[in-house]
Amino acid sequence: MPEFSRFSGARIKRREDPRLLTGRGSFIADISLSGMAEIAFVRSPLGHAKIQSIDVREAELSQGVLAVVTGADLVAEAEALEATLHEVPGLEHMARECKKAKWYPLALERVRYMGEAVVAIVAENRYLAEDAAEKVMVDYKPLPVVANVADALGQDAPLLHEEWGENLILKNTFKNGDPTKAFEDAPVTIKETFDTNRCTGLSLETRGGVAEYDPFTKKLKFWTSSQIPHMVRMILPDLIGVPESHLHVITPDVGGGFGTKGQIYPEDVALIALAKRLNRPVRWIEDRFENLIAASHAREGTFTVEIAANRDGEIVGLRGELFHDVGAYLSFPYGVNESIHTGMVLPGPYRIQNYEYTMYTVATNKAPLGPYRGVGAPMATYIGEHLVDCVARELDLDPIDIRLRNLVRKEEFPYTSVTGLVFENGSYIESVEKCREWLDLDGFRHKQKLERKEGRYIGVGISCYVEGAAPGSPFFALWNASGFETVTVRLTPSAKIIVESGMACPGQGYETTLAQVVADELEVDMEDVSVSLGDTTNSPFSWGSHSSRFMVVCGGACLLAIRDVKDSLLQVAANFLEAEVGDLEFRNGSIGVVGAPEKSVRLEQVCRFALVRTDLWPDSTSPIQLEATRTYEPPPLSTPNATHAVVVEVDEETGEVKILKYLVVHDCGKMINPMIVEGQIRGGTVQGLGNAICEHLPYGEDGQMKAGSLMDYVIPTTKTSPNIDVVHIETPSELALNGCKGMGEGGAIAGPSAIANGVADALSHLGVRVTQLPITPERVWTLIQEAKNKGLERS
Amino acid sequence: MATTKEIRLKVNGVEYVRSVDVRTLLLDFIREELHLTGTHAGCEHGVCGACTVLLNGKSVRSCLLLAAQIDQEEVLTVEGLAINGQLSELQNSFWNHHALQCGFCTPGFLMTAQELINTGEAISEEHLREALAGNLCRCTGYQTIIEAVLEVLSSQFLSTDPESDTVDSTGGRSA
Amino acid sequence: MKPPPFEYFQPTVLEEALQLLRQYGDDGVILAGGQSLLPVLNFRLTQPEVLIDINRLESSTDLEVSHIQSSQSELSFGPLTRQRDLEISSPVRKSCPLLSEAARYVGNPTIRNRGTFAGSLAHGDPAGEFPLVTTILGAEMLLLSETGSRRLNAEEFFLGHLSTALNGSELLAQIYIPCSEALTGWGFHELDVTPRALVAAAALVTLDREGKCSKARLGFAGMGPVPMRARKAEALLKGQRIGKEIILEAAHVAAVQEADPISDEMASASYRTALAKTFLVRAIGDAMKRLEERG
Repeated sequence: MPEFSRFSGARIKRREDPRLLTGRGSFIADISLSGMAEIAFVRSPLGHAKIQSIDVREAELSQGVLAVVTGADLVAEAEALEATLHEVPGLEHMARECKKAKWYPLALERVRYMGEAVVAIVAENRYLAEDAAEKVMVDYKPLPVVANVADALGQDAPLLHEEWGENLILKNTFKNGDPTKAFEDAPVTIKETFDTNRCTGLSLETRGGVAEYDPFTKKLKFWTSSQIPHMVRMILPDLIGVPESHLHVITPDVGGGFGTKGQIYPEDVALIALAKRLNRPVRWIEDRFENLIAASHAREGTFTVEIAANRDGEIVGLRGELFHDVGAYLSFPYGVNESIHTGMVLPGPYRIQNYEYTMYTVATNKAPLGPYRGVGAPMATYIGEHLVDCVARELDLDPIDIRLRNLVRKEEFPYTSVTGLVFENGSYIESVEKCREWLDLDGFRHKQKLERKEGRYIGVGISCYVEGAAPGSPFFALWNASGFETVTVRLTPSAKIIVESGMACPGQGYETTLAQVVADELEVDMEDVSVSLGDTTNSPFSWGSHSSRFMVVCGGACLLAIRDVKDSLLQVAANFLEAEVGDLEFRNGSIGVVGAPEKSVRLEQVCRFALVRTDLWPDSTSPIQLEATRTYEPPPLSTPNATHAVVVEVDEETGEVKILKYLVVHDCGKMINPMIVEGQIRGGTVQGLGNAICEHLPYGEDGQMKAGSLMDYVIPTTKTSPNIDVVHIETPSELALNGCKGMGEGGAIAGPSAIANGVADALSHLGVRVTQLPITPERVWTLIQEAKNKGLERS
Repeated sequence: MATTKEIRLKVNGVEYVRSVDVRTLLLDFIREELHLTGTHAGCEHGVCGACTVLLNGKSVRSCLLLAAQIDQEEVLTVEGLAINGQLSELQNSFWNHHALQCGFCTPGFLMTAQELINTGEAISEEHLREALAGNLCRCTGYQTIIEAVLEVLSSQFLSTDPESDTVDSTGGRSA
Repeated sequence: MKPPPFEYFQPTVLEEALQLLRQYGDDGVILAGGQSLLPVLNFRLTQPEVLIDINRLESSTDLEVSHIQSSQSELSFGPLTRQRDLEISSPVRKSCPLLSEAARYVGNPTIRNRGTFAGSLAHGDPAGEFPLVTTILGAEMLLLSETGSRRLNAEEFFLGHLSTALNGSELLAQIYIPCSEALTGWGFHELDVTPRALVAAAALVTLDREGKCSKARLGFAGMGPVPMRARKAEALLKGQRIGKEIILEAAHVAAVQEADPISDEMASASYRTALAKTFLVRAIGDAMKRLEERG
């Protein structure tokens, strides 16, 4: 880290904001091209059906219609998506066994989830496209619906993909230590089955894209509301036959990603194919109904997990059967990511070395699962943390104390978890202690007893996690991807700094934070730094925004690049000042001799000298570029951690859960902009809250998805969200170049479990366990009734 | 044939005369016809608030209004908040408080909050949270939005010069 | 999600509106606030041929369209009285505080700027706040058509789930609500955690000079196809001194014996019943508290 730190670590206002505040952001729906036409999709109303016939004649004649295409029409023009796993040493079986299936741009012969796109209409505007869409007649022959995991794996289950012979996409077993013995010997074992709800990212901006193809230059320009523009450009040639050299992918402002936009969808492929066909720019803006039924879902599963402990509270083992309900296809490219990640992180930040699980990734007639903030960690944390609390109550220990007993301690770092994750360092114990202090735990427990007598139920929910962030390349190998980032930094003759990264930014302030870092390196003003993101023609390859990786990896690459440029500047300045490079320093927009305030040269002079007036250089000097492109491979895993503490009040009569106060103690190593970090924590936590209490995408036995509007898919509002206190601990990474650990997903990881634990704590006198999400008021009320009926009430 | 209508309306102080398809939503009219793309479509059924504009000073959902209904009316959109390139007090407060991340919901929040500010009344945090519950945000968790609006509300309420925040008939600030 | 094509009329006088209604009948729908209609149009769940936009209707001697009129005995509201204006109206707060309170739960302030009281009633959502309180308050509705008028009470007006007595050629032109009697306390409670209304309870309790209940009006939203008056529970309270036990008994009778809610996606019947009972206890309790405060 530079010694000079005017901006890094400071709460700098974002430079993105003025344009967003004045309505001058440029989101995908704001792009308007001359002659642009609009797409509407006809989508399957059924969960599983054969397409017998499609009659588009009336639709074709509808006013303003330019084209009506079916899956069959596009077969020659566009390939299907097919997510696969790659053979990785030690995990070859996963690639060999993982099922794959073609997911066509428009359904071919069969639909496998309600909302699958079947026909695309291109018309002058969306109104006319929707008019025409209503005139398309699709003759469906309903097929038996595979409504859930149990159905999918049952005897004689209907098959989603005949060629698989079953609906199991992937099964994986893991074992480390001696869990069998641990469970045999343990005096306390608790087993529960958890059902987690199907959620979706629900960014305020839905999906969308604009494609424009020039038949003369054969170049395609594709604007996409995406987190992964370069991956999109890399993948597209195989799908639509346009080579990368002729593909220009741009991400404009993105109105929230959360992982839902970290993939390619069949609709994107259909859009591009149509743009090529029509030689007119074509736009697709998804509406909210489509977004709910067809943008990727996440988090659904049934998990039977057992925990083993000693009487003193030491947790000695975990084992489980994890069933993931992932829908009809594997999302592209990271299909089974959530399934794989859940089992890996279930043991949490604890010293548990006996663990085994079997993971089943199962196909059903539902919208495909894709990555969503946390990617498996929210469910794993909910389950693990709830079981820890169950053990605590069984042993009459406080949930805080049992955690202090089992959390990995400072002395044990670096700690290799039972699943092989290396926790470099962290503040697990410290963060729990801070929560205890904030809660005034003893005082709270006393108050809780008194309130309970008055019929008021308050409880405290604790959730600890360590997050696997910014993984290195070995982790991504399974998906034939990598974890590095490359950044170009170049200086202009007037010493302005241009930073180019292929990252897309769905709202985390990347432009600002990179500028902070670069300005500090050169000791200039932030205004002198210009950051360009998300455009494949003027940036090096990027793996995109996901996995909480931006500042660790892209920040690291940026540091390497700017430091190369600094070396070049020093060389030129040394020449200029007739000094040794070792005697020079950067100061206040200049380079000068250490200890000699009058011997300095302004950066602009250095840049002009290097870039413009090379005739003035001494003969012996080689040409110097004030530009560098550097790639940074991060540590294999970064491991930020946090503890959430929430105080809830449960209304026994209505089941409503009110949040009285909420604390997050968070450690992501070095922070570049604490204000942005806090925004990510709070935003993620409120998403976690929604996951816990009110969000749900239910499917019926008939394959119908029932939450088709925001009246049904309920997310937190200003009325139902709490103020969240945030306390920072900074345990810098020694492994990451900039000391950062990555952050962004944590709030969503711990939120659901904190709430679940709080409710169980508030109702601990009833022996309530929260084994189903979401914890709606009715569910809480039902748990209370059931407990009372069973006579479980105890003082 | 009663399927088109000529309308004359003022948007951000500028008068427009247009012929519209009667079913064109005010939201689409503002965005596609007037190219004021700061007002956003988030749900098209009135729940998310991203499309909120001020109609004669009152916050409304432009996705639940037809452009044909707005003949002779005055509309203020987010583009009308900053005057002569100067961010309004509310916009500055959002900036200072990090009250936006992706920015997609932001114009809707600004317009709803502006209506509250224009009433000149003091509002408690609890009431403010109730008043803004019709605007959804998925990025911020709302806390900094509440802080940003509260700061403007309380500074206004404590302002010694009652004339300093005069508003015109559209609900916008007068310079 | 864009609306389907339709024809659009914007009558400025009542006669014109009524004539259009008669002419287009069931092919036409009234556009008032639009907060219920537009979502349905955008989803294309309904495809009316004609929209009759009444927002430009002018008041006449025959009809006051928006201004809330108050007299000694009643309040009256027109077809364009906005929910927000009702919510903040001093006469309403003074003479009919139950109505003001219920208004706060309808949508959100932005929706209420545009949504109309009459439109909400014409929509006929049995889980809605306004249908419930108009039933409790003994409201009367004036339905106008080209051929005449009829005056119905709330219970005659609400016929079923999203179904009212309005036929295709009628306009809900006035709503009359009697002012609260002296010595009347009110209470209103609902589950307020989701955009969709689930269950609400309202109570009006009038005492005689001895402090016993002379009249009680108790009801539920979301417990049946129409807003429900709990008449047996009301009878239970009549003539009694209202204390904790009798409140519980009345709520039990109302929620468990009189109501017959459904189970659906949103909630089970037993949960609805539990909510109804709890909210009615709280509503009657609040009514009594308000009476006590008034001394």
